[in-house]
Amino acid sequence: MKHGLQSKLILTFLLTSVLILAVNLFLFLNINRTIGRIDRVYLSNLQISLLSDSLSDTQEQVTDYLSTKSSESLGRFYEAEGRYSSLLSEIRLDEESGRVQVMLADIRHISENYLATCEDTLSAKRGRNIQKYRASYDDASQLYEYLDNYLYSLNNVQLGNNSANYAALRQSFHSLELITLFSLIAVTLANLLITLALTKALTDPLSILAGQANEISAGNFDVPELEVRSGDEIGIVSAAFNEMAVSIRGYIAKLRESMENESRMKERELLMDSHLKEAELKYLQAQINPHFLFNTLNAGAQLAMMDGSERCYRYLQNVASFFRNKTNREKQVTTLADEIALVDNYLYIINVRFSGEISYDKRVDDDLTGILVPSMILQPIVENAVNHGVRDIDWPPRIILSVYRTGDSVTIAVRDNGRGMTAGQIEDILAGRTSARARGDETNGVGLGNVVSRLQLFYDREDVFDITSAGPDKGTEVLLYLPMESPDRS
Amino acid sequence: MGGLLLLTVVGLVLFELQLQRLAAPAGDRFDYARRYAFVGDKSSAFLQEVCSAAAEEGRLSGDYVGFIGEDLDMNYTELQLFDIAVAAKADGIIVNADDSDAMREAIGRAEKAGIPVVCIGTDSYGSLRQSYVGISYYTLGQEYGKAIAALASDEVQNVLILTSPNEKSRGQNLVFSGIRDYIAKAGRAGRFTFETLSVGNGAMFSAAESITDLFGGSSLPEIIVCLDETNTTCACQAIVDTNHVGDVTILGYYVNDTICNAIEKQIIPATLTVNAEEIGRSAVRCLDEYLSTGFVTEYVSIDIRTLGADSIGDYLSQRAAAEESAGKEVSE
Repeated sequence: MKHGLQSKLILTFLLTSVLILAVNLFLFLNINRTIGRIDRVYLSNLQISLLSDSLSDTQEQVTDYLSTKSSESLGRFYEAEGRYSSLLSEIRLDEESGRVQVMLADIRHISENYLATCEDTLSAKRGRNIQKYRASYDDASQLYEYLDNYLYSLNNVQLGNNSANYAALRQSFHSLELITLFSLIAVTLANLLITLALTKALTDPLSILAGQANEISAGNFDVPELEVRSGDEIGIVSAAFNEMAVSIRGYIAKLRESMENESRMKERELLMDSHLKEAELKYLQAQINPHFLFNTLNAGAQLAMMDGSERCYRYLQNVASFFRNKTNREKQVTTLADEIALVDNYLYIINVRFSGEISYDKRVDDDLTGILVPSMILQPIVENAVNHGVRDIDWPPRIILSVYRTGDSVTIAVRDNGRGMTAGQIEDILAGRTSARARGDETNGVGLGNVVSRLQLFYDREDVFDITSAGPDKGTEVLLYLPMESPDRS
Repeated sequence: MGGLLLLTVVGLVLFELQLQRLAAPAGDRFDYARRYAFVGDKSSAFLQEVCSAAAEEGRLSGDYVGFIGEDLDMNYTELQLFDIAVAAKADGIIVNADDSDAMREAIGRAEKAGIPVVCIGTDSYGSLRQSYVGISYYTLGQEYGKAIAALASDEVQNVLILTSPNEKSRGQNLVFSGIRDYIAKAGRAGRFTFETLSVGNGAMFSAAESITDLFGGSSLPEIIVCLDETNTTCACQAIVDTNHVGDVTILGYYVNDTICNAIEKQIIPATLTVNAEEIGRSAVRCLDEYLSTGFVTEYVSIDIRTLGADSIGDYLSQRAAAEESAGKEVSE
């Protein structure tokens, strides 16, 4: 990672620490230098005082030797002379300036003359040249006085200069205090600002990221893309978040498209199924020319009536009505009365065909026959009861059609006393797993499954159909539960 | 933030500069090649001006020129200061000499020590000095004579010439001769009588006491001629103190603040002066020339100028301009 958070944090704290360290080092060094100067301020005064003392000592030893001529005083003179010369050489001319520089030069030269004169005096004393050593001593004393005055004056001049230096040093110390205070405040503020800037740079993208994440968690995927300003971990997370948001949006779009496709496919399947049925019907209609069939059956009926065959006439009339009803069902919706009439025609035909052995009983509430129902729902059920219920049974077959009110619904019951059904068979049929009875091989083409599906679609509810049976050979009852109010077909 | 850091750095740099200033010497360091000792009364404005000009001239050629014992707390006589200069092994001595034997002997000791001596102001006749830079005493006397002649009236006037005791020399005699010759030549010999008075006994402050006594006495001359700065200054003060302004006419020598003030207020009519700067510069040039070649001219003449109430203003302006110009040169 080129500029990770760790690197940034380390760099920032290193920078501020180095800054504080540098300022403190600078101040520390300058304080030390200033203290060193203060130490040196009065050093020159000390040196001059020592020099003056040494000069007095030298002069005393000369006087002492001239008075006593003792070897000890001579030795002390040379000691004092050496000490004086040494102290004089310690005073550095190049460190002084202006008039002090000239005074020191004068002192050095006068000192050389003085010491030489002292030597001459002592030599004359040793040579017992009384006149010479007295004169020489006078000269040495005069030079001593000059030197003593020079040193005293130099000490005063230096004291004046040093006092001025000391005052200046005090002033510079005061300035140092102010600068130190200001520097520390400035550096502290700078550090604070750096830290604030750093934390802001870290937390701002995180806050924005958190806000975006909340938006997405709330279901709003149309969040603006996060700005990736750095290459650190936050930048990487932001970039990944952007990619995730794009991916989620893409996924949702694909899902929606997939669902729409599936829905369209189901719709198409239904349409195809519907078209298939319609095609089957058209096919049947095409096989038999309805008008020709009606006309033919009507002609047969008239012929039977003219021949006085009442039964034949009624039979043909019923057959003609049946096919007319059956083939003219171009409308999807019809009245319950029409459906019952179709059942009447069908059972009449069946009874003629099968010697009138099926007892047909209607228990219809006439107030309810006006409701609108999907066409072709009753006849297939009755046909089912005939074909699979009462046909070929050893006892007198019977079918009862009941229409009555149950609360807000109209219940239509087709009950037979035929072969009955097992519970498993009933369950299979209700679950749609058995389609044997639904196929219309031996019927007029509309099976029970079709009836159930159309009823559920028509009323947009599941509990429209039920089958009950007490068991094998105990008969079967098919129940339709139709709402009083027809759904809005618009 | 950048501004704060910048301010901190600027503060630290300023502090460093302050420390460097502190480390600099209190006075200007001068690495001189030769040190010339100036021997004279450091309280004299005339000698201060001469010494200052000499110091400036010396700086040009790497010489240090300053009053010997300038910072000493004890006051020494000029002879003692001369001895100190010799003991301090100065490379050359510029001395406001007198015509005394002691001075001649002192100059002889310097010569023995190999130190060249240039006399200024007053010459030390017969000494071993290398050169004399100053006025011609006879010419000075003539200038005084001219000023005295201008004061002639119908009555005979007494002229008192104040001399210094250690200068009862050919110098003062020459001045006196110059005055008398000019008066005679101007045909005013009968108008003036001349006397000389040696003020003081050579001891410190004795001149001032003598002049005060003179003005406090009963008989005062009409004209007093002062031949040096100290006598002139004392006379200017004494004439005011004793309320004799208008009774006595003083002809002075040199210009300092007191004398200048007296001329401007017409307490005294005129003073004679020389170009102190020219004396100082010439003295240094003489020493340089002698040390370089071993030879130098024995006498360098300096012009004399008479200043009255009408010309003192111009003189002061010229001197101020010259001082300003010299100050700039030094600072550069």
